[in-house]
Amino acid sequence: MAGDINYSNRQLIMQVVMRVLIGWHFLYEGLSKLVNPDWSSVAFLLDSKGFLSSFFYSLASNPEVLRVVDFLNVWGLILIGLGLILGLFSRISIIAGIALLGMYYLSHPPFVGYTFSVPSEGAYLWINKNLIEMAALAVLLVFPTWMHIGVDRLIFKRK
Amino acid sequence: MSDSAENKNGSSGISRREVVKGLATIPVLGAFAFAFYRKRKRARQIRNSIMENISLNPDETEITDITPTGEKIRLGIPDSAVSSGGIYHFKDGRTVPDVLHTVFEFNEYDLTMMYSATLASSKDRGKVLMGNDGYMEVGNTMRVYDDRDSTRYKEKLNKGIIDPSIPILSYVPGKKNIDAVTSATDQYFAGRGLLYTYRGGKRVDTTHLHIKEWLNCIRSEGTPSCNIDRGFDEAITAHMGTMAYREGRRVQWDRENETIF
Repeated sequence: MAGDINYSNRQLIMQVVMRVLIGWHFLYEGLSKLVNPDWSSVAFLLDSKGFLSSFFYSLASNPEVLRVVDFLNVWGLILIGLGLILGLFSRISIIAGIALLGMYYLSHPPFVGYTFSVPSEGAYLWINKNLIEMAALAVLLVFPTWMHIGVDRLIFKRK
Repeated sequence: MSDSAENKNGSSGISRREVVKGLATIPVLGAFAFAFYRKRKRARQIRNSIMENISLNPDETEITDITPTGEKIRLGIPDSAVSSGGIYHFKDGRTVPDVLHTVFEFNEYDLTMMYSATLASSKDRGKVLMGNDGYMEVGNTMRVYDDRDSTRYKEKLNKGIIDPSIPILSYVPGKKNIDAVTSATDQYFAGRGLLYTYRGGKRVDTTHLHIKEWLNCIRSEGTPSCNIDRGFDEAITAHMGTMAYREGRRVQWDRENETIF
């Protein structure tokens, strides 16, 4: 079982800190959208560029689909954030987080020749912070800490 | 780190150490809740303070009246007009100027309106209403910015509550509330026309609403938002600008006799 990795204290603490920090980021992104009654993903979707842009436009063009996308995005972010902070259903939270970040990355890929409506706060070429956060989650997935620190430890208690 | 030690005494249940490790990150949620509450509280305080300053009810959901007395902005016909312009770019025999600047004066309100048009450039200069305390940009959206030298908001500016680079009031069609604290992202998207007018949750083209209103008025013998008086004001205003250009002089409006002289 992957959770049986023996960590040093420092390794475990730093892994959990990273998990909690990413969780905090997800949770606040979700909650800030939830409390804003006017928030919608429509502008973000319509600003998409790249080879998947037509897919993201199609999500934005149908009001019913858009409502579902908005709902899944907000609650996805919140639940993933809670999952990461608490170490609750961590594996599925991390996988969902990677999938969500992958969508953000693919909708706004920082490739040569694409400019987006919202100016980014830094300079990116191929690699942006979404991709780095995704990679960080992938690291967390292969170094599971939730069986040491997290609610999963209590739920999936080892015999 | 081995868990064998704490599992020894947990044969009949979960040991305390086990529970502590399982719930170790819960305090983070407490810190999060605290930070979130503080952020929301601060945003609300700033919003209410700004709304109070501009004499708007913080719970206002719709902009119906613009002036404190409840009158809607309606300037009517200007007292005078001067024009300047010509055919600067499209020298193809046309007689209508491709560059035209007209200044209208409204004596009663102590204001002038500058109309500046050029067919040779597609640069959008927008519509801006400028005053001593602030300015209002009107287009797809409506935004009110504070003037950095405003006398009315001087105290708020000094305290840093108002930032003159961020609108103190923003109205975006489709939004449910007047927003006194807008996000940079919202402003950017709205500025690029990526937002729409919504009716009953559906995105609609605003020109359709005008035609719908007009047809409804024909059916019900009602009066549309832009009625015949409004049309008269606008037609005369435009005529005054054209006459000033053609005759190369300042033209005036005689309110008594309803004539241009």
